[in-house]
Amino acid sequence: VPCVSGDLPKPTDVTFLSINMKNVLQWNPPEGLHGVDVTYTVQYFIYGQKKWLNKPECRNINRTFCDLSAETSDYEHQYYAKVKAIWETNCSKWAETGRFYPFLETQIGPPGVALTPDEKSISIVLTAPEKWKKNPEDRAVSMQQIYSNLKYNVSVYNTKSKRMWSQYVTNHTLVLTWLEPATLYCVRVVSFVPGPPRPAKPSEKQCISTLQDQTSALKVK
Amino acid sequence: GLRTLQLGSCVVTTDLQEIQSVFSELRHSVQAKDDITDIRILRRTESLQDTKPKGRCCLLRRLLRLYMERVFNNYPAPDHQTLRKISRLANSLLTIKKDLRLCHANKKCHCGKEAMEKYNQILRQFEQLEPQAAVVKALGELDILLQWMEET
Amino acid sequence: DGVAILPAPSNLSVHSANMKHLLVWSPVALPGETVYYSVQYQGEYESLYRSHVWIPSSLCSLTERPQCDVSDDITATVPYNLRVRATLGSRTSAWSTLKQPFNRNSTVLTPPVVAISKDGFHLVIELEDLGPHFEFLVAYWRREPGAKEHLKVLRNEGVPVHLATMEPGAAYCVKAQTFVKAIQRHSAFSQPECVEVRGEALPL
Repeated sequence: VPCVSGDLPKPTDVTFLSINMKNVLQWNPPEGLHGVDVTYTVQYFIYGQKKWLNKPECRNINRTFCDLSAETSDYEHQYYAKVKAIWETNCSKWAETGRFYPFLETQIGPPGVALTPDEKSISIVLTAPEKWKKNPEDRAVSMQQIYSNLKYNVSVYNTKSKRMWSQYVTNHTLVLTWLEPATLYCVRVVSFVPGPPRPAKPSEKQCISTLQDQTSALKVK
Repeated sequence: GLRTLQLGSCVVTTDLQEIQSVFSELRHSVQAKDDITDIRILRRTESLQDTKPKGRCCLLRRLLRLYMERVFNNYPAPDHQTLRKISRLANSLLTIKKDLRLCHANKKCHCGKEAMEKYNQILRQFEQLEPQAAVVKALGELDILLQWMEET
Repeated sequence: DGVAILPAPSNLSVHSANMKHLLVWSPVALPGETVYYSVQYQGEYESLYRSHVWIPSSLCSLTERPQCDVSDDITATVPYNLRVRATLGSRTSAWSTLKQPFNRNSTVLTPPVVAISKDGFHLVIELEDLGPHFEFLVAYWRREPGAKEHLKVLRNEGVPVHLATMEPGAAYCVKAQTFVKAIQRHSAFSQPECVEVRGEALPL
């Protein structure tokens, strides 16, 4: 049943949240309609083409987000999306995003970080962030395969000397050698792609202690 | 860091990242002015990637000339800050255009049939629009052109 | 605009070091009066395609001092025209234009100030913050005959950077030069600095 357009205020802050090519449209409820049983309908548009396209799974939904990853997965294209609010027979005008260019705008998530301590060293194994995939059983694609110039900025903090230093690495293994035994070190890693600035979310801080120095342990005996 | 653009036998080094950064500060405000969303001037079929390497220098040179002569100088900058950013883009791309002119002088920038057809197709897309709308759309699509250059 | 009865600024020149460009001029001397100055610029693009267009400097519209930091205006490696005029109340002078266009590739690059330190066996370097244009080519070597020189290209991230893992009982030396990719030039190397790591070498 067509609704009367324009009687409701529009949803606000309509934007794409894009991390590793998982592109989710999100918005806030219209002003003044909190608590009212509002539903939403989403459409999307490929820049340069002719028609707005429906996303059946996001028609008359209650939630305030819609996953458009599958619809916006072509790196060559740029997209728009829009959403309107519906309440009974009234609906708002469409609220539209700006032009969205996933290839340039997607946020590169942090890598997986595995730390293995030794007496005077810590080995760091990084696992490249994984691109969004449509089905869980699809083959995993690493963001490295999309951005061949992907690098990592590894920050290391010595909790004893209270000193921090960082270094850029391109490969996925790094061994910090000649560390102090029995000392807690904390590591944080950020993915980085040279090019236009894009937001970057660092990995969770991980702290691990180097092992007790066995030689001094022997002397003590 | 520096990017090396491989345009057939013409090789140009430039700081593409800085130009991309400057444009990213303008992008949303410029694109918001373009409400003709069903027309795209720079399309995949006419991209540098879809052009044989020996024609890429010519195509890029023509495109930069289009931007220099008909886009940057006709964009209605609403304030001095935007005017400065457009000047920064124009002068940065001018350094690339001057490098391409050197390639042309050294016979490394041949304009063959394919490159000219693609450029003329882009020009038709540009000229089918009302002049002011064409300027706004072309400037809003600079991220596409810079990405083509990034991928050469 | 106002009748140009005010003398124009004179002796314009640009002092440029490490990509900081300062336009200076001789002030208009009017005892007891505060004269203000406005600066405008034109890149090669403007002079070729829009010669009538001059762009107000981002920092110097009606400034009192006879100088202007135009570093944020000179943002491409092309020749720039610069001009200044004086203002006193409603009166303005004629524009004075820099005789020769200025190109940032003529900036003077000085050796960088670097701080070397140790965190245990780790050789760490802190780089001078010279701004986004600068990369640092850092050379380091173990102070012994025939030692191999290692090179690293670093950027200033505001955080000390890990340079090398040192072996106990050895001394390591470091020197650095700046590289500005926008103008494809680098500075001279800084004076080498050395640090030593005490402690006996590992039993073989």
